[in-house]
Amino acid sequence: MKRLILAFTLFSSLASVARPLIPLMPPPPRTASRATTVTTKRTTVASTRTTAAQTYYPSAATRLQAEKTPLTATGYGFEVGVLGRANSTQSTIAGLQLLYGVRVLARIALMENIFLVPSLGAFYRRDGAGNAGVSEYLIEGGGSLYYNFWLARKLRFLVGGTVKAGYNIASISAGNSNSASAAEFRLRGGPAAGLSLGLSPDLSLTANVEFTIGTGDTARFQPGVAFGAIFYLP
Amino acid sequence: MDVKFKNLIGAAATALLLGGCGSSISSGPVSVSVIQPIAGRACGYQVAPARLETMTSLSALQGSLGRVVYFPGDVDNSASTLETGAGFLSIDTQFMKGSDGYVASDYRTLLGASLYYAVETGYKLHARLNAAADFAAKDSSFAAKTTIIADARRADSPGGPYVEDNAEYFPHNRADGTLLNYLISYPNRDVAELPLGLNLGIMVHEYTHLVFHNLFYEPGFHRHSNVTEGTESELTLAAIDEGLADYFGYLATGDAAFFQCSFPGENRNLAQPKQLTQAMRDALKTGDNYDSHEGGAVFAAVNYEIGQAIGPEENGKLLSALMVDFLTCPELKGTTGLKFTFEGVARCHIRLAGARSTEVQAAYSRALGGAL
Repeated sequence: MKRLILAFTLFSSLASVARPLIPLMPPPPRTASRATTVTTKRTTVASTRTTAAQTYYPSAATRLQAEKTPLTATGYGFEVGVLGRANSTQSTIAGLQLLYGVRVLARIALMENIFLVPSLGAFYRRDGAGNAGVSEYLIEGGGSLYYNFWLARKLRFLVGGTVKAGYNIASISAGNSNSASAAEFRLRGGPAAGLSLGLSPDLSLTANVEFTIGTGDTARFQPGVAFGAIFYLP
Repeated sequence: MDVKFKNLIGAAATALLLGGCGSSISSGPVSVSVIQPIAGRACGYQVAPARLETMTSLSALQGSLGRVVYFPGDVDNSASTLETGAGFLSIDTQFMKGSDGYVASDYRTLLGASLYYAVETGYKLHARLNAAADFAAKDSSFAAKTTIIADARRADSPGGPYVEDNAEYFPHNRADGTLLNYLISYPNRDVAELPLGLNLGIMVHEYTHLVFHNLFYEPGFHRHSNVTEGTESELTLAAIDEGLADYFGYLATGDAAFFQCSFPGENRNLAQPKQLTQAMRDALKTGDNYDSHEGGAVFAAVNYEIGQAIGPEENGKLLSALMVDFLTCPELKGTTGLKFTFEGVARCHIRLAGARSTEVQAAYSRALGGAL
C-alpha cells in the first residue's frame, strides 16, 4: 500500500512539473479574438470561443458547437475503471477476474485528428475465503494513441491502440500474517476505443474500452473499461 | 485512417506478442508461499514458502503424488468423471515469482498449491513413519490414481444443497477394480477463520483417511466381504478412522488445536482430555445421535496423551503399524469379519507398544473408564 501511495505522490509531482515540458501545439488564438469582440465579459467568452474554433477549423465549426474543446489543446483528467483478466477457473464475471482502480491522464492533440493519452493508474483486487485471501496491486503506466474517427454534435468517437507496462504485486494474507511477492513487470497492449462527450469548452466526459493481451506467466486477454472526465484548463 | 497510425498499432501489437510469450513456470521441486502452522502455537500460522519436492509442474499443480483439479459440475452426479477423470479442469493458475519462490496471485491458485502442499506433507509424514505407506515408491501409478479436487461441488442428495465448509477423502473403485483416491476440498461459506482447504492439519487428516483406506480397508475387503460385523463395530471403526486422522493432523502441524483454527467452537483439541461417556457408548450401539468425529476426538485425545508420554512420532509409528495390524489383531477377531470395540483397539495398541505398553495402557484406562 505504501508503494501505491508513493507512486501516486510521485506521479502527481511529475505531472505538475512536467506540464510545461509537454510539447503542445500552439493554443488557439483566444486572446486575439477576445480583443476584437469585447462588449461585456459574459458575451466575450461565448462569442470568442466560437470564433476560435471557426478560425482554426472553419469547416467543422458547426459540429464543434457540441464538443467545442479546441482540438489542439491538452487536457488533463481522471478515470475510474475496471480491468478484466481472463481466467478459466476463477472469475468474477464472464470468465474475467476484475481489478478496480483509477487513472490520471492527459489528452494531447498531436495532429488535428490524432491524440496521445499518457496515463498512470492504480488497480486492486482481492479474493479469498474466511480470514485468508490474496490481494493483487497493479500500478501501470503507458499510453494510448487515438484517431478521431467520427465527430457528431456532442460526441467524438476515437479508435486506436494502447500499450501499458504494469508493476504487479501479489500478497497472501491469513489472519495477521502477510507475505508479499516480489513484484513483476508486465506488459499489455491492444486495440482501444473511446467516446468523448463535450459538456462545455472546458470539460468533456469520456468512456473508454480496451481489448488487450497481457504478458505474465501466460498471455491472457485483458479487456478494460473506464469512465472519466477531461478538463481543459485556461 | 492514417497509414502511419496503422503502422504504429501494428508495431505495438507485434511487440506485445513477442513479449507475451511470458516467463514459464519452472518444473521440478519448487518453493511456493502457503499458509503454514507455527509449531507449538495453538492456531498460530504464517504465510511462508514451502518447498514442494514432488511437484513436477507448478502451473498444472501436478506432481508424483497426484494432481489438483477443478470440476464445475457435481462430482456425485458425474460417475463417468470419477471413473475416467474426464471433465476435470486444470486450475488456471497465476503465480508471481518472488525472491523466496512463487506466490499465488489469486485465491484458487493459492488453494490448489495449498492442497498439494498438504498432500505432500501428509505423504512424507506417513512414509517416514511406516514404509508401507510410501505409496509413490510402491506404486508408480499412484499419482495417476490420486486426484485432489479444489472447491468441489457435491450434493448429499439429488437436488439437495451442496456440501460446503468441509473436506473429504473419497475412494472410488473403477469398474476394473482399480482404486482411485479423491481428496476433496469443498467451498468455504461460513468458516470465518482459516478455510479448511488451507488448514494443513485438516487436509493431512483427509490424507490419513487415504492412508487408512489403502493400508486397512483395501486389503481388508480382499480378506472379508464385510470388514466389520455389526453396527457397533462399524461405528467404532468409523470413530477410530477419524481419531487416527486427527492424530496425524496434529503430528503434521505440531498443533493439538489445529482443527479449531477453522472451527473454534468444536471440541476437537487433542490436548483436552476426553472420555468415552455412556451416552457415546449407547450411540455406538444404536447409531442414534452418533457422530464418528465425537468418538474419534476421544481416541485422538488418548493418543495425544500417549504421545506426550512416549513421544508424538513414536506413537505415530505405533498407530501407523496398528492400521495394518487391525487386520490380524486377535482382539478384533469376529465371527465373519472384524469386530471393533474401543477396548479391543486399545488392547491391540498396548500389545504393539511392547516396552512402552504401561503408558499406553494407562491412557486408555483413563479414557475408557476401566482396566484393560
